[in-house]
Amino acid sequence: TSDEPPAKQTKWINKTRVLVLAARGISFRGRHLMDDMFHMMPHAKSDSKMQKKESLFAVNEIAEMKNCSRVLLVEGRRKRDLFLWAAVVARGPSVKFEVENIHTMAELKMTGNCLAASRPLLSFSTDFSDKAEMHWQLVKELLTGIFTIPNHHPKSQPFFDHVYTFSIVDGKVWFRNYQILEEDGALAEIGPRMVLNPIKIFDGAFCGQTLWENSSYVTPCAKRSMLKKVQAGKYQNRLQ
Amino acid sequence: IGEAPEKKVAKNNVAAMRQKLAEMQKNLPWIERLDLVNAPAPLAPELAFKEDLHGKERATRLQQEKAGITLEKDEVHNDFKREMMFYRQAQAAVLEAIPRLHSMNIRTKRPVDYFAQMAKTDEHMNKIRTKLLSKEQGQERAE
Repeated sequence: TSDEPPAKQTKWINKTRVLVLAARGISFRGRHLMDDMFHMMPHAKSDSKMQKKESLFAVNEIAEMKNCSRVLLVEGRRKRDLFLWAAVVARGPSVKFEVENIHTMAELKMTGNCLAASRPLLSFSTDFSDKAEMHWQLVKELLTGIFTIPNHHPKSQPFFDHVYTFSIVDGKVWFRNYQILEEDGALAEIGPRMVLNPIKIFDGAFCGQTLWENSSYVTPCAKRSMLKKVQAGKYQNRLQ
Repeated sequence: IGEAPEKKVAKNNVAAMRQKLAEMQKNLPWIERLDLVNAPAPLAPELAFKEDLHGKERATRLQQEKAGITLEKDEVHNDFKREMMFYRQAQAAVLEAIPRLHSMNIRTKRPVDYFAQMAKTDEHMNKIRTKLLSKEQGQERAE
């Protein structure tokens, strides 16, 4: 009944906080994606958007002021390309992803819903196992540290009603969020959706040596120019 | 004739990454992390039926359009199959984690009379419902 006092707080050991932040010129889609993630992370803190002139390294300072040990930074380029940084503050490491195929939670085709602050189960595909390549193991640890909500977090809900899945297809990490309808395995997708294409892993937070780089990565600009060249060739062929 | 430019070797410093990984791991119990590594759950009969149906539908559509591509190369069907894989992976996670949580005496299911802020607002859910409904009605009318 409502007369009962609220349940007493039990031990809350994991005091990880995540800074969710935007930098320079992200589009509305990028902003919506960031907000979607932020609203499902009661352990996240935010700050005003970074100035264009500030170097990314300054994020470390902001995080320290906000008592955060992890950072999720969304960066936009040319008003259409979106990049996501996941980092452990100060000591590193940090990963830079390009974000592709974004669907935000506001879309109407995904029918699921969940508590805003319930703790998600994090499901990784077998490509992330202990025997996988080292950079995938590192990415798994980083993503786990950021997306898991600490147990007994004061703002979290005590039930389990959604699953995040991270799977590797084509050398990219595909992110999905499902609602658990029935505990025997009936699910409905909640959103958002995104594909994270890893570009580089750095030793420090937004700095330091490159520990790993994606050899097959093509920048979105190069991709577009290639596409243009192919199309131009098509016209030439038709003329001849 | 110029020589081909020297191919850049992509950096992959496994030893340093292993050290970083060890540094990051805080040895927290599983309940703090809730991470799982799953292979996709076995294909349930109703899902297999759905996939089969979708495959057939696409095959006839491709034939009608005379697109000249096979089902294996059809992007729409491949998208569908891939989403099914993700879905099954999530299923496997649920089937593993929920009993594990129950074995720790942790309640997982939300009581019906428990109200709290949801990820999507009621207004948004209503929009989704009306859209689904209108889609269904449209299909019925078409039949």
